[in-house]
Amino acid sequence: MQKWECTVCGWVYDPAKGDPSQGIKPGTPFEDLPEDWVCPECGAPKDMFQPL
Amino acid sequence: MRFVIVGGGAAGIAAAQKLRSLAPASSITLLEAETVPHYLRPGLIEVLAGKKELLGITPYSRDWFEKRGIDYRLGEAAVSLDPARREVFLSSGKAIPYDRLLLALGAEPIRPGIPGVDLPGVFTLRTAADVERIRTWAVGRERGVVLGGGWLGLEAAYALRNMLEEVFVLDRGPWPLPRQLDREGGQVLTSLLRDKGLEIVGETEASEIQGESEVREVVLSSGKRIPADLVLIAIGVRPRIGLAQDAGIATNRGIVVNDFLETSAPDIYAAGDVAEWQGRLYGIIPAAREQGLIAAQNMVEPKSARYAGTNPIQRLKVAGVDLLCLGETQPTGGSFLEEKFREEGRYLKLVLDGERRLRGAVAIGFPELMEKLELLFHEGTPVPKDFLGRL
Repeated sequence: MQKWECTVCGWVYDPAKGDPSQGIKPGTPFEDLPEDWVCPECGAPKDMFQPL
Repeated sequence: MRFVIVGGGAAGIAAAQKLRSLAPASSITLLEAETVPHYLRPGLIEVLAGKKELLGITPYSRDWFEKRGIDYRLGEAAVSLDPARREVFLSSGKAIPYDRLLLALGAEPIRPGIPGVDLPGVFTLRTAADVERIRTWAVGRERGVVLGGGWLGLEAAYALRNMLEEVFVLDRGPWPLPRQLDREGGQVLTSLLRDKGLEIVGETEASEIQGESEVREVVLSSGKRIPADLVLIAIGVRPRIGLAQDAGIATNRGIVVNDFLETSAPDIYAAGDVAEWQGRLYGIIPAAREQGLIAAQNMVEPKSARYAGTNPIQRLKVAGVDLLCLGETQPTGGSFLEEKFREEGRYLKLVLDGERRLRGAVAIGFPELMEKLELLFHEGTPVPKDFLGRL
């Protein structure tokens, strides 16, 4: 599945891992993340990510 | 219900968003002393390096706040607080009443008490305004000295290298990132940073900064002098507790909070870098956000959410170098086994227990191994005997 990178801090969203810190289960594609989801490292919202 | 948040950093913004979603009809006021809209602080390094504009790390426009009915007041600093009357006072003298208040005041850089620390050309790095001042000053300057070889000091030095001919980093410790790295890792990092134009000087402290109208040189405790026309202080931060202290709220190093992020005063909460929870000051964005969210829940419904600590996210890069530090990197005592691999510009150390489970690791220059190491570390599966041999 497509990984996405935070354009501010470089943190990478890997759908295989999800984001347990915000209750996102492994296997969740980036597109399906809730609108209020943010980069767990720097707080950047979804629209500041780009496909890796 | 009138909610007031003092401080529009990571904790304050997260709290404002959460308050709005939980209490659609409430009034939310967000006071921010800085004059520019909320930006993502970790991105300031890229702005300092000239690789990004402030706008590129600014996630929300003023419209965004307006649409959500958040009264976002930039350039409004809270100067005092009256918990009995439930009012916050602004520098203009104006009083803002609240039903529940969140103190998300953040932290400010520590300046050492040495002579010359206030000379023009000596900076700290915390805000967008700091970055602007440093970038303006750096034009036409050549020699920078950064005091402090922690994450911020190294990142800032690397960014300054884009503008200056030469950058020294001074640290009290024997090598950079002494809490995270072992000696050999420190040596490898030092030489990699040297290749990038950063000179790291360990086991040293500045005893004085000299110059007449502006900074000219840094005098070390050894007596040695390093010429400098720009000095950046990055020796750490301290929570902004003054407002709470003056109002009689319990403080220690930070504003003391319980598991509900309540302070000692009724209906006043604290979150983020300013908050001290179970003796801990996290000073990291993920903790600030999490505390902001939990404080907001409790402001809407008291004692409805408990904070249980934040696991820090592993940093994977410093000053352009791939680097991972996990768990015990410098074990003392115990029956740990260390396995090392070192070659030009790369270093890997595994700290294993009797069952060959990974208890700690340092990896410099192995971006492809980081995921694997984290997995081994968290799952506790034994590390194969030929792990290093297969590199």
